[in-house]
Amino acid sequence: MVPPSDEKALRRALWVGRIALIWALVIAGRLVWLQVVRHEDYLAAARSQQRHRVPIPSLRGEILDREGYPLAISIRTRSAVVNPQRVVDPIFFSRLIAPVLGLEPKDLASRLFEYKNRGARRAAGRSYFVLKRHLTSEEKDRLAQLRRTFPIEIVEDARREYPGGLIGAHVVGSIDAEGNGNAGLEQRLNAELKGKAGQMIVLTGSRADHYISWVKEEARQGANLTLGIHRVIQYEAEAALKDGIREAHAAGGTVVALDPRNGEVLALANYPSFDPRREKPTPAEAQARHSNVAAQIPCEPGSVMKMITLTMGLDLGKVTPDTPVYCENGSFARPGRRAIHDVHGYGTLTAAQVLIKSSNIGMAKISLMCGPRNLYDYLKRFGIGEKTGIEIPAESRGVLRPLECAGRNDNWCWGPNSHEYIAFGHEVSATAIQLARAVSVIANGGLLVRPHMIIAKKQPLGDGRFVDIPVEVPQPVRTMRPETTFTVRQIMERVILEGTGKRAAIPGYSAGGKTGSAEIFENGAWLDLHNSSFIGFAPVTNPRVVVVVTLSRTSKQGGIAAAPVFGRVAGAALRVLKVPKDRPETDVETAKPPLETNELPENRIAKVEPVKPEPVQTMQAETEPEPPSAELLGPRVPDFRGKNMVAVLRESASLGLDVRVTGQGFARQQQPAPGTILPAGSTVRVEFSPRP
Amino acid sequence: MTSLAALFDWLAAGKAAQRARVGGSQAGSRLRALPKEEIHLYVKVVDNSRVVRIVDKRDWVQTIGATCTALTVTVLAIALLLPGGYNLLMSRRVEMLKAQREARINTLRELRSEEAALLNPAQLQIWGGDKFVTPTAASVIFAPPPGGAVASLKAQR
Repeated sequence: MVPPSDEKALRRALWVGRIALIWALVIAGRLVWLQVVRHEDYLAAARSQQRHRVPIPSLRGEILDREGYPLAISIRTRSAVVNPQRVVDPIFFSRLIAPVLGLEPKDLASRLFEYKNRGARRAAGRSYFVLKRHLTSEEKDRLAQLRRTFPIEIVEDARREYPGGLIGAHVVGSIDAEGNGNAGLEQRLNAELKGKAGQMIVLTGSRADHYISWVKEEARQGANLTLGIHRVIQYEAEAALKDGIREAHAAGGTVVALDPRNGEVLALANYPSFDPRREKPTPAEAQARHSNVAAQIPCEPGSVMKMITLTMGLDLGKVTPDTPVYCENGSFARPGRRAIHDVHGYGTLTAAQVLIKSSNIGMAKISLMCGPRNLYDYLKRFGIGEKTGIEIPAESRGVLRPLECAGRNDNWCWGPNSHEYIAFGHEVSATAIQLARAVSVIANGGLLVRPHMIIAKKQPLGDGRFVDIPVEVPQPVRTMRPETTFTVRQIMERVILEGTGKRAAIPGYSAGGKTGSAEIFENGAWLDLHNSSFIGFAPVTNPRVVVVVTLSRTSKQGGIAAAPVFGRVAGAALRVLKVPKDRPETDVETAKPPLETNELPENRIAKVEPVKPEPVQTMQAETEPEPPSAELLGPRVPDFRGKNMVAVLRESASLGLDVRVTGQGFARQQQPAPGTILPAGSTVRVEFSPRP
Repeated sequence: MTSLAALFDWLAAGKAAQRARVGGSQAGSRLRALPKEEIHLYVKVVDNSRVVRIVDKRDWVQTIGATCTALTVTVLAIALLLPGGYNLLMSRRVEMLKAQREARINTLRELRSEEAALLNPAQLQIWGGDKFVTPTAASVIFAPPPGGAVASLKAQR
């Protein structure tokens, strides 16, 4: 028999056992709940708390010029950062740390206080304060001692350097504080240049002190880009542009140098420029940084457009270089239309002379011969009104209105007379890049190339080796016959030799080009300022460089202001590219450049005579142009008989007649007879004899 | 034969007598240094001249086997651990070399940047000033043509 005391103890033990069992079951149940049922949730929560993915910054790719010199290069550096929330006494911290890093203790302390206060309200994003970026090795060594006491961390960083300084600023662009491109190629090709950030996994304890980490994915450096830009040509272009702008008192300008054979951009300069090294630019620099005039801002090309009009006439066979075109002695008035004027009145000029003398009337007549459809077609063949595809952000397509109107109320299309004005650069706008491409068509024998700046891409593998990335550049497209372009090249050479572009001559090299001046219409009034331009190529027989110069808001014309810039840039390019000279140098040195050109700003026609309202009509109703009449092509030979030599020469010059005189005194006989319509390329022979 | 206690007593006697000389009357009340157990030491002479050495082949085999096993295990352990250890050492070395390479590549970048800055045309213009002038054709001195040349530009022998 069990004693009563033992029985009581046994009962108590049983109760304790039961309670323990229930407690154990509850614990077990809770464990099952936590570790089996909610396993995934808590695992994810634990991982998010303990496991951190730390990005490893990738190094930005290099931008090199065509010779391999870096225009932009990234260098690994270290930066000192601190968690302001862990700085107990910012003043004490600042007094010790600031001298080491060359900072001002008061500034550092005030910023730390600011971050701490912000952190109290918004702790999430304010636990990271950069003490100093890009530490020197001395600063790093001195900081190493202090890191035992203060919660300072040294993190990897990268510094973007632009060894060329201002050279190629608009091409290369710049980056912001986050390391993303904000202008130029840095912006356009940001993804390629930036590479791919790596990933490091860090397992941390509850106090966020990391105790184990490993690299999950290595950072991949961005691709290295080799540009067609040559730094010497680029420098010359920028220097020449700056000097040209200063001499012409222009507000800005742009220069584009292109290899016409493949469309590689050799130089692209804009003024005003900016310093890409400056992290905090001035407002003016910030504006310049985001306005790449060469590709983003179109302007009326003016007379340079005459190159396209003449090419059209020649390619279609409507004119030959010797076809006479009557230039109406400087004023071409038609009923119901705006009159077209030349600054100097010309009589009959050959088609070639129309370009050389830059006659608006002559060009309008050639355009009339060919018709609007052909002009529109040829503008497209030269790439006007279309983006070139150059690697510059926000490229403009220029302004080329559609040939046909969408409806009766559609005014954004060609009017019935638009082709007359577009023929000499009115009612159309183009960027400098577009013009350079258009000139390339003439320079390379009729091929439309795509201007591009990148000629090679290489992906660094991280071990010093590189993998080539193919650069896709569309093949040039033939848009016209080579013989036509060769003829135009010869005519454009005469523009420099005897026409409006004498100041563009390059010592030792033959060159061809065309001047242009478009008056600026602003706030409802014509200003006495021009967009002066010059387009050209050199050498003439086998052009290696095309240069387009545009100076904005200058009182001087293209032949005066822009032509010298062309000569300087093209000369430098030819020298750098080691192109053999094809002319004696003395040819240019002895020639006297003109003080003024005989160019008239093309759009002054609108100022001279107001536009009369014209009904908009579609081009579909227009018939093909009729063959040119005799009146359109040339004047009748005047009666020189009885006049002295001065009077004969003056009259013949005003009509653009080629006169050969023999003898002295007064005109006695002439051949052909007075009233004859002078055939193309003919000469009037006048015989003089003393008065009987 | 003597007891160990007697030996210690004898050894301690000198010190006690010295203390007695120094301390005087305290010596009589002191306890013995060691309890007075009687431990007797004996010397026994063993004669090994008639002992016969018998070789135990089984033990020998066991010893050799154990030795070989230990050796094999050691070799195997080394063979097993050596690649890993070597890997560890080499990995560390590779990582160090990688870091060195990175540092050198970075230095190379810095030097290239400096070189480009020094060869910057604007900088050269500052240094060179007006000395950078393209020579005119008349001022160019052409090198004499090599032997066997059939044509040359302004050749002067």
